[in-house]
Amino acid sequence: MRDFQFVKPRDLNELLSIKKEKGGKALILAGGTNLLVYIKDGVFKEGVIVDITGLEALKGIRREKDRVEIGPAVTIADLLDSELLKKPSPLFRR
Amino acid sequence: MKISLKLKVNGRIHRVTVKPNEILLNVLRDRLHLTGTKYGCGIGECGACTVLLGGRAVLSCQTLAVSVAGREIATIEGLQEGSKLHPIQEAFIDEGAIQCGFCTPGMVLSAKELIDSNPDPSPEQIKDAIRGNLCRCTGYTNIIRAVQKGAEIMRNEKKGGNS
Repeated sequence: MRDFQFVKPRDLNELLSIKKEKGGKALILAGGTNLLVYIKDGVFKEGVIVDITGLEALKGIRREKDRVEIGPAVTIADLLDSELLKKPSPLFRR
Repeated sequence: MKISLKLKVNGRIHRVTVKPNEILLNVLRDRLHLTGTKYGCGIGECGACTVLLGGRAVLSCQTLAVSVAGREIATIEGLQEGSKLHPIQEAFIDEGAIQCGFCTPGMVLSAKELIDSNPDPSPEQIKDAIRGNLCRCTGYTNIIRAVQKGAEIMRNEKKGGNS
């Protein structure tokens, strides 16, 4: 069956178990600029699209002592908006 | 696999059945016949397909319809009130910021996102906000002026309390 499915995991555990079960058939969707272009171009013709944009655990920008931690589901727009990043890393926002 | 979902576009709820890999852009254009949103490059580089999702500018060609079910989506068609164009739209006309018009819906929506959070943007801030929207006619100078003017009209309307 050449088809796509769609799941939106509610938490990290669900995401990990889907990934474990589906392996390479689990196509992670965040910003979409890779995955959706690949699908459009026919690189992927089937698979389970796993939408991680709603996962709070993968969001958030945190300041540690000498570094900043940026969650993998943080968008560029989030970065540009971040008050936290304005001061310590103006270059980053450019 | 087909998925039935509700899309909230310009305040109206539409029930549509889509495939998991259907992009929001195609659903807006082909199913809801909201053709103001343009299909430019299809790979997230030109900004012609920009819509507002919860008030934020996003590329509808890089967004799956299923992933935005129930969220607040605004397209260019939702900006005007009745027959009255939005101030940003008026400003684009007044400033001659439209040449072929293909980038205009995306430009206007990116501008709206900017002005909603920054009512008095500088030309630099406007350039920053529309950096993801390409104008193949290269009419950027007029576009920047139009965004400034749109912002000014919106500020004045707010002051007058009639917006």
